Amino acid sequence: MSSNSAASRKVLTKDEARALIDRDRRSFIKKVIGGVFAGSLLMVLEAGSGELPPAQLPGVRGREYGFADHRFAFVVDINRCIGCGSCCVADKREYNVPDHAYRTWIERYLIAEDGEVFVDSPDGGLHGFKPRTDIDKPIRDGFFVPKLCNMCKDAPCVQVCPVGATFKTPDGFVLIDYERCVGCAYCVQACPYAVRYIHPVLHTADKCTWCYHRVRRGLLPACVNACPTKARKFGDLNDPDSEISKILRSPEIITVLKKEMGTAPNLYYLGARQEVM
Amino acid sequence: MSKGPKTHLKRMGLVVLGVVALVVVGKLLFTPGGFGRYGHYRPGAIDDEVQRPLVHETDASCDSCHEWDASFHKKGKHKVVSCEFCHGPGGRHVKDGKVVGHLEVQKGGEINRLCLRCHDGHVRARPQGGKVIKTVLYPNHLEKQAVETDHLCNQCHLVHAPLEYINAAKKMFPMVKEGENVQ
Ligand code: HEC
Ligand code: HEC
Ligand code: HEC
Ligand code: HEC
Repeated sequence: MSSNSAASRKVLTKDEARALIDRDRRSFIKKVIGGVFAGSLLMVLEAGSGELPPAQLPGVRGREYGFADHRFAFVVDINRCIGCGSCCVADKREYNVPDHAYRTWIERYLIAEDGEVFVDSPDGGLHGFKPRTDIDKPIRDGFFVPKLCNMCKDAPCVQVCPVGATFKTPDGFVLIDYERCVGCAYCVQACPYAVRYIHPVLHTADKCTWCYHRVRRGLLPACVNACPTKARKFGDLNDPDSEISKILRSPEIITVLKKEMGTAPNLYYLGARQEVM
Repeated sequence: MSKGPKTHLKRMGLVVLGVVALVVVGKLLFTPGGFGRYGHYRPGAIDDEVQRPLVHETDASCDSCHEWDASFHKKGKHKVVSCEFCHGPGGRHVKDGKVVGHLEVQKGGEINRLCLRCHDGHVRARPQGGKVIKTVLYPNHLEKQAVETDHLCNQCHLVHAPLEYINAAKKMFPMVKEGENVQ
């Protein structure tokens, strides 16, 4: 930043910024764009306004974190997913995920009248879905399946890690110690859900963590916040009032992926047809 | 030292001891503090993950400065669509109460692409029936409104509350689109 823009430094309190935006929104913003406030990057607002947004998960903030107090679970409602890819965009930004690597992705299933199953996931759904024009059969059923880490209670990736770099926290998350991981990729092989990849920059394993850093701040995972249709739901099973608890105690049909693998996932699906893998 | 019959055993013993000592020292050196407190891992790794900086905030964190836009967003059908999905993460825009960067504002054709990402009726596999999402066919939707097909979606739909203008127009001209129930 040049020193003459420092001269035009405008110090605004949060209230002043708001008053400005309110009083003459458009001309203010035009001025900003037009460079009248050349140092708009330097608009220093009063410290203290950088607190966390209001809590979204009850019982996490404002007390010492009790590992044994929470039992988090994730529910994906396939009947509500519109395949917009907002979750994928949020995830990529939150973790600066390199191109062609995915911590979460969406698969599109189209099932023909004769039972043939067409599955695709262009760029993991990051840019949404374009109409598929290559199928000339009548389609009986179609749906989107968002995929992410299953946070297995019996996680194969934890069992195979030779250096203890992949582990299960007492509150039920499977995390990675990026300092200890040697990038041997046993875990990538071991995961039945293919959620792991070797990070091309860090040269360690990486995968979805259900936004552990947000959860511990009392916030929902980035993908859950971004989902416009509530196809992704997250919450604490120890809180009987959470939506998650209510769903898992409801008569709805709830499934997990690859049950026969015995991994006991904490990720549940609503509306998963038998074709879903 | 005379070579008694057990010398070779003593030597072997020394070598074994040496190896054991090396392993013990090595393990002490290379095992991080606290390893095994909760399980077979370094407990500090949990703190490392907790320290990860926030990139996305929430819709609520935009309210305080963008009251005007937020007021429409809150009352319209798009309250379910995250500000940060359309504009980019708050962490790139405001840090410790300081405006540190500009967020993206779509213009022209980008706006139509943004809307159709969620509302394109040509994409099969979306939930049917309009309960979860109402879709339109492009450009039929514009032809139905009898306008040129190069119209942008935001010429009729306020992006932050998409039915705002349309409902207002319906109130003013109730005979337009009789029988349509748009809340
Ligand atoms: C601390 C007050 C503050 C907060 C909080 C804040 N903004 Fe802003 N925002 C501003 C100011 C001041 C400007 C105009 C200057 C600029 O563009 O840097 C602006 C500009 C913008 C613009 C660009 C407008 C244009 O026409 O170029 C967008 C989009 C935006 N903000 C979205 C958001 C979103 C989304 C959030 C919530 C994640 C948010 N803002 C939170 C103060 C804030
Ligand atoms: C559906 C996507 C979408 C969502 C959700 C959304 N915006 Fe916007 N926003 C846009 C688009 C597109 C524009 C530019 C076109 C326009 O204004 O018609 C815009 C313009 C803006 C501007 C520029 C100034 C102005 O009013 O013309 C600001 C500031 C802004 N949005 C803030 C917000 C905030 C704050 C939220 C959440 C409360 C939000 N937006 C939610 C799409 C969105
Ligand atoms: C991230 C996905 C997403 C994007 C992007 C998006 N919308 Fe929406 N939109 C929705 C959802 C979800 C609803 C349904 C809310 C409901 O029914 O409660 C909706 C509702 C609407 C409605 C009201 C439909 C009705 O009658 O109930 C209109 C109109 C609309 N959007 C137009 C637009 C326009 C125009 C844009 C581009 C500026 C846009 N949408 C961008 C997700 C999106
Ligand atoms: C010329 C004005 C105009 C333009 C431009 C326009 N729309 Fe609309 N749109 C309308 C009106 C009017 C309605 C309400 C229709 C009704 O009530 O029958 C509507 C309704 C909708 C709905 C709800 C459909 C439903 O089934 O209730 C969606 C979704 C939508 N528009 C999306 C879009 C998108 C996406 C674009 C940009 C490609 C767009 N619109 C451009 C005027 C427009």
